[in-house]
Amino acid sequence: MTIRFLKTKAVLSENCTVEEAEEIVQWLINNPKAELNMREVTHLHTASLQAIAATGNRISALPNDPFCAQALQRLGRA
Amino acid sequence: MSPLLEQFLIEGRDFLEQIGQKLLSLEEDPGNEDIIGEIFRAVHTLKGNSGLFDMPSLTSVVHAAEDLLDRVRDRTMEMNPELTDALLEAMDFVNRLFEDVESRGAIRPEYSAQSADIAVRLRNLLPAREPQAVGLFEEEPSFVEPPADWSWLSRVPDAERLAAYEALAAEPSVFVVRYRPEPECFFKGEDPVLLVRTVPGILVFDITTPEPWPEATALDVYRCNLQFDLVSSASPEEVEHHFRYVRDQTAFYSIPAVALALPSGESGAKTNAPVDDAMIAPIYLEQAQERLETGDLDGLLDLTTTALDMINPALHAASALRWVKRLIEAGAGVAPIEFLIDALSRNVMPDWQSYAGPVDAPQAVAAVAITQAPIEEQASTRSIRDPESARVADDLAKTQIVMLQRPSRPVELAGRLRSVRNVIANLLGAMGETGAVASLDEATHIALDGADAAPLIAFIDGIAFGETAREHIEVPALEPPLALPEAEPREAVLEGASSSVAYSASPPAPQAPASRPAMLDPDAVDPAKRSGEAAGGDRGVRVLKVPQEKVDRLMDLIGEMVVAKNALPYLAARAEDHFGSRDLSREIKSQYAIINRIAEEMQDGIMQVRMLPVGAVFQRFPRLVRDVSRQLGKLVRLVVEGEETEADKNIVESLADPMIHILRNSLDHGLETPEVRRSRNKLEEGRLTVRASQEGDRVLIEIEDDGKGIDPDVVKRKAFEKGLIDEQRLETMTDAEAVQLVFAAGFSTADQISNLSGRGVGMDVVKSSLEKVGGQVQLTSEKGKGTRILLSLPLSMSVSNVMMVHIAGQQYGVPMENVMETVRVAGKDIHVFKEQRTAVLRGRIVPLYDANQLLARDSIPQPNEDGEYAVLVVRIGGQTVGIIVDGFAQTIDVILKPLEGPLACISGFSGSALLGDGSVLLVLNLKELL
Amino acid sequence: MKHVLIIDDATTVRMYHRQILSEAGFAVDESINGVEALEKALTKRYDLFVVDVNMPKMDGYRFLRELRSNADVHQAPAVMVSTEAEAKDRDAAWAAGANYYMTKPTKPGALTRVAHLLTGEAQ
Repeated sequence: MTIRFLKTKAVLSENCTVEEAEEIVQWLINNPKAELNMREVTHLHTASLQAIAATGNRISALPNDPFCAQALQRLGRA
Repeated sequence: MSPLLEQFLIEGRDFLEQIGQKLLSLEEDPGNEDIIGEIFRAVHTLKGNSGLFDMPSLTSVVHAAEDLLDRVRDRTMEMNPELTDALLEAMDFVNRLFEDVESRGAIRPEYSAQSADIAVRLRNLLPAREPQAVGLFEEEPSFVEPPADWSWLSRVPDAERLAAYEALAAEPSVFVVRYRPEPECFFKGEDPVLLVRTVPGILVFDITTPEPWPEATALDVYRCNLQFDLVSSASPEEVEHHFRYVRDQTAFYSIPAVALALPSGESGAKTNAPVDDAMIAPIYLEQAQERLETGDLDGLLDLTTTALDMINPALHAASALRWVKRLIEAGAGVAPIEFLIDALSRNVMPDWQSYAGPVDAPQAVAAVAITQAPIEEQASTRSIRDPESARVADDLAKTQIVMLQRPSRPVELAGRLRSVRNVIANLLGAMGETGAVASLDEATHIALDGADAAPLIAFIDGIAFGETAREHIEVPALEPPLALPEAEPREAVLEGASSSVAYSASPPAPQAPASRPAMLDPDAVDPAKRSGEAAGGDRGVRVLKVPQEKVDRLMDLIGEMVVAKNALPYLAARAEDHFGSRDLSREIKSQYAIINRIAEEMQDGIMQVRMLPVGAVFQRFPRLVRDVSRQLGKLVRLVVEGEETEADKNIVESLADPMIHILRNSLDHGLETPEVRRSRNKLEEGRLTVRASQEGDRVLIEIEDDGKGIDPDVVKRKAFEKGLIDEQRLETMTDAEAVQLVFAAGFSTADQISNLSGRGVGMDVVKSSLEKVGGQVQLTSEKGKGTRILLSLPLSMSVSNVMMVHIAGQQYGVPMENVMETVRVAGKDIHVFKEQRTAVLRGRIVPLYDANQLLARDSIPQPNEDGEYAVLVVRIGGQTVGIIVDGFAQTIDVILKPLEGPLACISGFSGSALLGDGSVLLVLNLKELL
Repeated sequence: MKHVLIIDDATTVRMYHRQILSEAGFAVDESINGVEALEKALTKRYDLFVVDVNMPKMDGYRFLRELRSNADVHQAPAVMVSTEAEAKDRDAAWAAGANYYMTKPTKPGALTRVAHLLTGEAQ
């Protein structure tokens, strides 16, 4: 996948893999006010999903992928 | 070896290499889906390619490998070292088969037993399906219990459950999974979310966290803390099979489909809804129970619909009513509806777990009648002549109906309707039923307007495409079983044996030189191949497959170098004139000579890389001539000569379409039927010769037939009728000039279009498409004797010598082959006659054109201080004309590239070239401009 | 001359189909995947698409869906060609909006016939 970490938001796209979970979590912890744009996400590895579920950052755009969007919604993130 | 077979080997080896490498990287990175996908695709494509040839021992092994990889891909099987070994071994075997094909032209029969063996071994690795899964089910205890209640379903939004229930149609029960992945699952390469989203028939799911999340900083992202619940419409066997590797982490159970009916939404108390809203419920419930007692479901439906209209759809009560309505509509029967309404009246969630009532047999949902648009049915009596074509046409029409009946995303519907309209319109055209197209368009229009395919389906249904005219008795030509007989290995080996002495002289050739005979094959003319010969090696032919862009990039760079080196003579002159150093100047000059030679060799080298034998295109002609002449009932002998002549890839490729057109013309209009030929004292068998040769820096292609030739009188008359020539020309034209009229745009029109040559394209298109790549066409014809067409093309389109000129403050290039001379003409010597500027040059009146006008620039020509204008004298299409420009600059060698992208449609330019300083030079196509 | 776009990632198959179709009198262009094919279809009008299923970047199904959703493209007939002969594969092709389905290896005569009928060039 590609993660673009911008100043006030992270833009995730495509397939978020297990390797990227750690990176996402670290960035979210360091930038608690930052928002997540996940519109282009096509799949979230369980570890990445957990990372996003366990941190409190606001999600500014839910994935277009319905399954990913539903998964985030079930975990109270939408 | 046919080019197709050659291509198959090149591409096939490429795939084998990829597969081998990727299997190894997959061992490093197990479970990497991208790699698995790539391996699968390579094997799949290899299988598809091998199907083009008759090579069962190859196809069966690759097919078995594909089946295995398919299972790995859909995760019903895991990659393991044993599997990797088996696949690698299979690919090695395929490589040996390739060697056989290459060196012998066919696969040895001995290999077929080995092939069967390998295929069986591969298939034995496939996991047995259901029986094993059931066994697994009993053996392995699960650590996960089904949930005590089904309340998790209420966490799924109402809309999703409603949709799921609808998707189930009348299925009485559904299969449910609780999956609690073990915390360490990530280290096993598992992705529970992926496993869940790929569950067959998944309808709804929920995710929960068994343990609360710790502080973000204390989170261990590699410890799975999620639990999944899901409902699937697939069979229990399928779903259990899907989870068989995590069987100990799952619990399965079934629930009645109605258990999805859990009202959700806000309760009235929480909202600011008026009390009246909440009051509807008791009245409704009372009446509903009355209807249920009498089994009046229709009444209940009316009642529910009315009640729904009156309340806020966000309310819990509304959700409950929607479920009542949905259960009635789905024919769920009285019992579950009663159960639901009972729960509503007690103001509790329906506890479907305790619902023991029978699930009523599904009642058919009344089909919604499709109202057909009032279109007259067209029962056609006309038909397609060839019975097989008629059958296919019928199949095509039916297929459109099948396709239109599939659900389509709204955004795709219009496109689908239009594509079907085009299919049917073309079928009608083939039947000669063009009159029906208007009704077709009407039906399409209605379908588009209503976003409903039904009217179009009804229209198609009304046409009989399959009716074959009875009077038609022509026997259709038999289709040969294989596309390209010459591509069949067995035939190739026969050819090879008869033509190659070296091969028959050393029959059981030892391993290393075994592939040598193939090299002696006169067809093996690929330069890349020849250069590979020296390298030797097991493969016999070492071909580097390089993307064209890379070669193009090299060409560009060399082109730049050719331009850049031209600065050295100038530098030498400066060293002498400006710095007074003769020695330095001489040294620079001698260095320049060396660089110049290397640059030229490099240029030549890169051009060689791009060279292809024209035979690559000629290859298709025998079949074309055979088929077409048979179809026309003519006897034609095709003679092909000089197919080893080489030219640049682009040139060779650009030859294909024009040559096919010319050949078709000869077959169709040139060569006569055997009867006619006999009556004219000619051999019954016509002769069609295609001859390629090289002459200097051009490749010549001659296409000659001994047919009836072109009648200059007929051509002249036709051209006159079409207004292409005036009466005066008609009289003065020589016969040789007259036959050239076939190249005039607009000469070939409908009345001479036959089903073969004249697909509405005339010789003018042939001519212009060849001219685009710098080619020329000459035609000579003698009435009664035959026609000869000579194509002359540059060997390569790479380097052109152009003269740079200034026009309106910009530089343009003019191909030197057009330029006759450059002159300066005083303003007073330019005469204007009927708005046409002319000047007398070397005793001839030459028309002058203003380059600014040709290029539609606003500027006017700039004379020099002496009042003289720069005139470029060029020769275009046999005419001498002068172009007034602002000034001349040097001539240079450039690599000319055709304009691409949006620029490609701009006429007047033959291409662009990159200059040494990085700027782009547009090269004028004077012929188009004038 | 009618224009056909062959979309297939296998060079050998493209070459094979090109031979058949140019002999049948079509002008042939090629694309190696759906993305490239869409770009071509947006800049040039084709009379027929011959579409492979399994391709990198964008497969045949997705290509058809994108093609049919694009109002700017001439909606020429599309024939899907696949090595698979099962009903479910045909179904998938219809679901994606294909106008016809043929199994590989395609018979030259059959492909020519279908191409002629679908482009109104039948004899």
